[in-house]
Amino acid sequence: MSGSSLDARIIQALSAGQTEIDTEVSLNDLTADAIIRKSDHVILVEVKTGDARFPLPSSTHSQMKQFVAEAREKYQQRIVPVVVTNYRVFPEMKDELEKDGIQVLSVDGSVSEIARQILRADDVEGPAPVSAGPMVV
Amino acid sequence: MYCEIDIEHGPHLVAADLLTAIQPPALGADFPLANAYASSRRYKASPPAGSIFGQLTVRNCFVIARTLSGDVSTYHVEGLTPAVSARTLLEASEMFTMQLLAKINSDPKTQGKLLVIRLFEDTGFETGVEGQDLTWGRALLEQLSWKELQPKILAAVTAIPIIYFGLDKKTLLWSSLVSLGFFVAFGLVQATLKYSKNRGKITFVVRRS
Repeated sequence: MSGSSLDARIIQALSAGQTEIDTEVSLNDLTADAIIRKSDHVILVEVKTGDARFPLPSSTHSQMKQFVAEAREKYQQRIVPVVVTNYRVFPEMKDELEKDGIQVLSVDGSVSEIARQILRADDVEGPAPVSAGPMVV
Repeated sequence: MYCEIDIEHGPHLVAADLLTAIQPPALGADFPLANAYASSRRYKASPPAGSIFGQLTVRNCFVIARTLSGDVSTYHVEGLTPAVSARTLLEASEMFTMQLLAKINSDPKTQGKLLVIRLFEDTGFETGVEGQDLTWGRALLEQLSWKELQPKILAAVTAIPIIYFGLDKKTLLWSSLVSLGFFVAFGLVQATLKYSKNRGKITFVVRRS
């Protein structure tokens, strides 16, 4: 899939029929691609697309931790972070992200199926929420 | 701002050999990871769980060898101070990449090629600026792009009704075809010269969303 329109199609599929979704949400210095507000939690969606030969940027984990900290401060609810990408995701990176409760969805099907998976993200039992402070190296 | 450099390695990659070949001081002075994270606007507040090593490099920049996953090694390049401009950062990334490839390409167990250099904002947002090796194919595509071909095809197509309405068919038809042929031949020569001149250099393009 071409990276240039994929972002927009994913967000459009996600927005279809959803009333509790905000796109391009400002979180201090960051801008979240989509926030889906549920009664007791918030799904934070970050879409990363481009040339499918390239790997997922290695700074994604750090960026998502910052997103979660900012979103928690704004919404005061449990945050379910989801990365949607057509980049290559190596098992080590996926494990590292999922260890911090960040789900990774690879775009290898239709965008509507991806949207359904995102909306079901809160049904997945993940590890404890990401801590707001910096990790000890 | 920072860059991420992704190097794709060959099928005979031996990770231990690669790390031995590139770790400091092979490509630059050692820069402890704790110091590198503290200097990074991206990683200062949210350092990664683990990286391979840190080092200093050209143009007042530093490198964090981030990961070696599968057949791809990834390097983070950032300025030591916010005064390092995006242009300087891109130059430093290009120079570090050239040094790295020169170091690893003599050995089949470590050799690799540049996959991409990507430029990011401190927030992690991709700017769309990407650097890749210039290949002859890419140089040819640029010379024979639709933008370049369009006026010539238009000239050839408009010749058809002119010929149909009874002007000197042979001269106009042949001149249109010869004109198109000269344009393609010129494109091939230009692409070859551009590739010869710029081979080994990295070209940056802005990917539009």
